Amino acid sequence: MGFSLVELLVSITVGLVIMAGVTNIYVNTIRSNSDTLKMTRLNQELRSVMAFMTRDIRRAGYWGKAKDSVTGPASSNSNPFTLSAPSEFAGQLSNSCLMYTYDYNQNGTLDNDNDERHGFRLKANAVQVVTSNSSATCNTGTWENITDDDGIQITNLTFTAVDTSVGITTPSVLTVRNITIKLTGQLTTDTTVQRTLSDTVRIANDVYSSN
Amino acid sequence: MLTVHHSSLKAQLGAATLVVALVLLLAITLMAFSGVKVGVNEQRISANEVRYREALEVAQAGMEHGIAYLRANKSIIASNAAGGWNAAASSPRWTACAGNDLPCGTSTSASYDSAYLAYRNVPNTAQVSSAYTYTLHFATPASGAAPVANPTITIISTASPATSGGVADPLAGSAQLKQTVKGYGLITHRPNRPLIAATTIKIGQGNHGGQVWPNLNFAPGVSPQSAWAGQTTGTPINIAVGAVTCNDSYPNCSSTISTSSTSGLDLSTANFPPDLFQYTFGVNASNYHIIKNDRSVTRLTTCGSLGSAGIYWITGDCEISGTVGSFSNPYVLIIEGTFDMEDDTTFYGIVFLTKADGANGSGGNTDLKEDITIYGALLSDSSVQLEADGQEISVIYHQNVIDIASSYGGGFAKLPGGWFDQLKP
Repeated sequence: MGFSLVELLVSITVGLVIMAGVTNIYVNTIRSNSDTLKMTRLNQELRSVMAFMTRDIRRAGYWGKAKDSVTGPASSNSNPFTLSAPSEFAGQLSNSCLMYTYDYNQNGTLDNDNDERHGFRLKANAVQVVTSNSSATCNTGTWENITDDDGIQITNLTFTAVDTSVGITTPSVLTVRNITIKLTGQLTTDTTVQRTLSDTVRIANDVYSSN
Repeated sequence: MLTVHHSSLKAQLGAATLVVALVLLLAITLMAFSGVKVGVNEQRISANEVRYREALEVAQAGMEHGIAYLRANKSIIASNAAGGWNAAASSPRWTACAGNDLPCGTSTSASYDSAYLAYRNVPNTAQVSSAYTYTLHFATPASGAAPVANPTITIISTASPATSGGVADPLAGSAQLKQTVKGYGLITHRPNRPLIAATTIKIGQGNHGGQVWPNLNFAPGVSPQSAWAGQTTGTPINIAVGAVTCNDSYPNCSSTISTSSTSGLDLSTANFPPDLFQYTFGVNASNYHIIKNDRSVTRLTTCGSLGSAGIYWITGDCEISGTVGSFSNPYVLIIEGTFDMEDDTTFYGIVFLTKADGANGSGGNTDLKEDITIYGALLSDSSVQLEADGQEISVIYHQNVIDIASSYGGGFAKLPGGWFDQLKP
């Protein structure tokens, strides 16, 4: 005894419907898994870049001889370590570059060393960091990518400086500095996978000026 | 009849489906595992970041505690007396930096070497977190001597995982940061002349001689200054000829001394601040109560019961006699009423005659009798008159007295540029 034609047709149809459903679930599972992976990867990349930037920018203006600002002679009582106003590499988004210095070796002098001269900028869809051992600007010096330009495109990097002046006895002014960083990235292979991070750094070292 | 062979897989119906399903399931499982692995890694990374931030915040909170601790102990930080941080018998105390224990140097980089003094394991600081413990250490430049009244101190705060039952959380983070602070006194702007008055200054009228010994260090190479007044129009500044005692270290004295209508090098009206109270204490005169109610200030109605050297806010009249203070223990008197010095009185310190408390402040009336000597400075929100009955009135600018008196009270302030999250490069 075998199957009748009708039985066969019915069972094939039912089988196909089940197969279609299973395949659909399977494909969806694979797709969502891959989306999750892509998102995670993008997230990870952006977050580590953001953490790197915020930790480092917070140090801006550290001066190993800070005590000289009150006890030193007039010739050497001003802090040589600074945080510049945000700028940009020519042609890139405005305010996508931030330059600053801090006294890594704590000797009180601004050395020609990329441990002391720092900067981040957006160029060619990647975040770059200064590697020059001498004075660099947003447009000059040697820079290196710190984001993976093969897999990830950085579409937005913006530094916004918010300074608050705290009045002391005139003419002295204390300036509290904040930098808000906005970072947007997308996957090169799938530009619909996008992510934006935003963080604000309170620069630990304030600026005192007496004129 | 359909024959079923239980022993043969080939012959079983649906075997192919099972195999395909198993393969698919395996593929999905592998994929899920790899996805989970990536996710767990991501979690670890962000958890590390969170822990680092927690530890940093705890270290930062510890640093603020350190500043409060320094403020609370300001008067004994530089003290050689029993219990002082410089006293040999005290514990803990400042000790010369040696070895590699925090905060002193390590073998690779001695940031804090023998040129520094260390104050270790600061006691009695409240912890702010159950998960982290912070420890504090202080370092100060030794500069060949013990810390001065308003020292520069670097606070080193280290946050590490709290131990529970002898075991630290192996996943918790740690952070270390330092901040350099500088001590300041309640008087933020030291008087730089012996006589400072918001309106007029009158000295040594008629035959009665007064003398003012100027600040010889006022502006090196330019001129010493005796008096600073705010009055530029109206009542003429009245410093009588002879008011300033010339001595050998003041060569320009005779030719540039002020007369009754002209101010010379010994008296200046330039850049006089609109608010002398603010200029001196860093607080607007309308907020005088911040100074009046400061924990370092003793409030009295008269000067009849002055205690040990320190800052006193006198709400009524102040009358002193005999010897008040010494070169090493000067007083700061902020007086709302009149200031009277009896015959043969010597005062060491700074007197500020204030109008800041509008209800009472007369700010400036003085009744100085004979043979009066003030070592330090006399400041007034209105005028200063030394001529009343005055004979042999001396106001002598004394740098040490001014420095010590100006270091009373206050606290420690963060120096801009003094924060860093690494102890050594």
